[in-house]
Amino acid sequence: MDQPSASRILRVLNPEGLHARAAMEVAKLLSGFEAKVYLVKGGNRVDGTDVLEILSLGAMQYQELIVEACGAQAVEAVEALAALLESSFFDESM
Amino acid sequence: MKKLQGIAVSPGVAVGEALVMDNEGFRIPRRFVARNAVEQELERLKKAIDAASDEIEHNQKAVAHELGDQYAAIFEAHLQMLQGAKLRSELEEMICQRHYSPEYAVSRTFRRYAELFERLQAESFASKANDIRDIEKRLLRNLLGHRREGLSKLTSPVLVLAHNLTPSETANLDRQFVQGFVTEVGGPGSHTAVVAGALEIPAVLGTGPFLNEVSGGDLVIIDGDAGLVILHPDEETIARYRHEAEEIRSLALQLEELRDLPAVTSDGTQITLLGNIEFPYEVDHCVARGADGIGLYRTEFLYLEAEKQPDEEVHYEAYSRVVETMGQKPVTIRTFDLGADKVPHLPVAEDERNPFLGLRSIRLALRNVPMFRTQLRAALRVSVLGNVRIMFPLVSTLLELRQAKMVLADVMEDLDERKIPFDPNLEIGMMVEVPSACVMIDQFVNEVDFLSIGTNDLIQYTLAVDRSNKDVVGLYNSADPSVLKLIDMVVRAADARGVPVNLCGQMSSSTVYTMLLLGLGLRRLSVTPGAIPEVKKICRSVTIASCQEVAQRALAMENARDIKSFLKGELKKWVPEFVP
Repeated sequence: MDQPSASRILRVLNPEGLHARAAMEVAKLLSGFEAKVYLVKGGNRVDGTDVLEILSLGAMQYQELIVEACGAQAVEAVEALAALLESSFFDESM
Repeated sequence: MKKLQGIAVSPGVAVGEALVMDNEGFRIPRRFVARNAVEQELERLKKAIDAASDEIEHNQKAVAHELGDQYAAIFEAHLQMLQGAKLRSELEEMICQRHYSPEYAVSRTFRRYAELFERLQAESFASKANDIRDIEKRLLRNLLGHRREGLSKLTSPVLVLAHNLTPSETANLDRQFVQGFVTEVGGPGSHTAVVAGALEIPAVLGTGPFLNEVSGGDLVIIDGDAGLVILHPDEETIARYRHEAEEIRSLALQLEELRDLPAVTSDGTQITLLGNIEFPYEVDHCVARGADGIGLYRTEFLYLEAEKQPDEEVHYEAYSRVVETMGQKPVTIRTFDLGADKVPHLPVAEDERNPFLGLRSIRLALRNVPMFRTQLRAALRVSVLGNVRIMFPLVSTLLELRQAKMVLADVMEDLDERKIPFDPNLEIGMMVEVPSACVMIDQFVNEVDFLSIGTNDLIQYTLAVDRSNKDVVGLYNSADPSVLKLIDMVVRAADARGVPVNLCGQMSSSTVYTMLLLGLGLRRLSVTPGAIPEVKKICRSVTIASCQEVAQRALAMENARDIKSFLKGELKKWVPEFVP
């Protein structure tokens, strides 16, 4: 497999953590790339396009996640996710 | 394995599959599917997920349109959770590999997610468990479709686990297959407790929240003697309880031989054993055990289970079934004994901060005379079919008794005028269950044909303890010396006037108290039908002289604990096979 791959440690800045709406944004973003993206936290590795699974990580503000991607757009996917997470993308109000 | 402690309200042991009812009354019909049905079941799951997704999308659009996108976002989140690949593969795996039914798979999988979220520390994540349950319900609703039938039409034996059961849910339950109840709330005296007692199946109530930890189809044990519920029991525990259930059955078979023998003490005193019933079908349980009559026919179910106020024919139909079955044996119909809160068609009482001290029972009947008359007319009409007696509950003053008797006399007059036959000499009595009635018993005995001591309420009012409140239920004690003194007072006064006195609370069904009660002078005991053989066995094993000695010693003791352990010791001496 000589598919491109990428990984990075990211920090959640969103005040409410990776919680319903944020998880949804993450899943939506990642499904737009031609890459398989996993999020890893505390020994759990989940599909980055599966909202329920992302939620089950329970990632809170200031916690770290490892993102691992492989596929044609692996690098782009990781970049995009980093940008989203670090932007403290919106206030959770749900 | 997890043990939950609740309040034991109906004895016995049951081991079986759980049927979990949430507030919407869902139930998981079965746990496994046939191997060759897997394809079909997968298709059913797919359809349910699609239908649930459509519903969510529909909601999302409606809310977005009305309130704006921001408020509809939660539905988008639900939709994405529901359509997650991991969830789908997990469900499919359970159906294909383990042959779980889609309903059971959904229940198991969502419970895992809900538990996972609840464990997360942040409040905001824990609250997501509610979203999970919301999605689960939607999916189950789609899977079960028209098969949501609550507790009727079951196909296999189940133990019902619920937050609470309403009278309408228990009204039509499948008596063949429901083998036990557990509810998170409630206690003795609640409708579920009454129904469990009537069905003679074990029940544990007031366990506190636990439904999140169990799925429909899981194996569960109900220990109705100890008030225990065991979730996910291990093999050893299952074996132990199955053995115990077997022993209970074999003891019951032995006792069955007593059916046609009289309840006579070994020194020759005849004891009358009557049955307490609520539902007409229980009369068959009484006949099967050779009861001498019905000592307490509660009529509350007629009000609880109906959508509208029961009319005279509804009463008549129920009563005639009981009276005709009992033939010439007495049937004591107790009139309306509910609080206003239990009767949907009555106006809500405004100041009901203490329902047990409020507008209920005979007080409420006397405020709603037309409703009261309807019941009395039906009771009088059935009096020509057999041996009927009428009893007024919760009488606390002489004036109240006289008022009730006046309404009855008025109804009799009315029937007379219309030439409707009834027995003009039928016996009229009252429950003695309020301490004031005990204190004034010398006067009450002059105005009734019989008395019936209702220990459940008498204990509650004497000791000022609400026995459905788990924080004080420990203070509720049948053996309290104050209670025994009141019973003693009533029996003496009744004997002096030659008025028959019966005892019909739960105390009479508990074998620990039988010797004491006989010793206090009671010759009529009205018990739950299931307890008739045991109580009869004790009557036949003891002498009145020894019972009198037991009663004298108990009356001289100063606290309930000493009295109860003394009574247990005496029972063991006289009827060793009854003490575990």
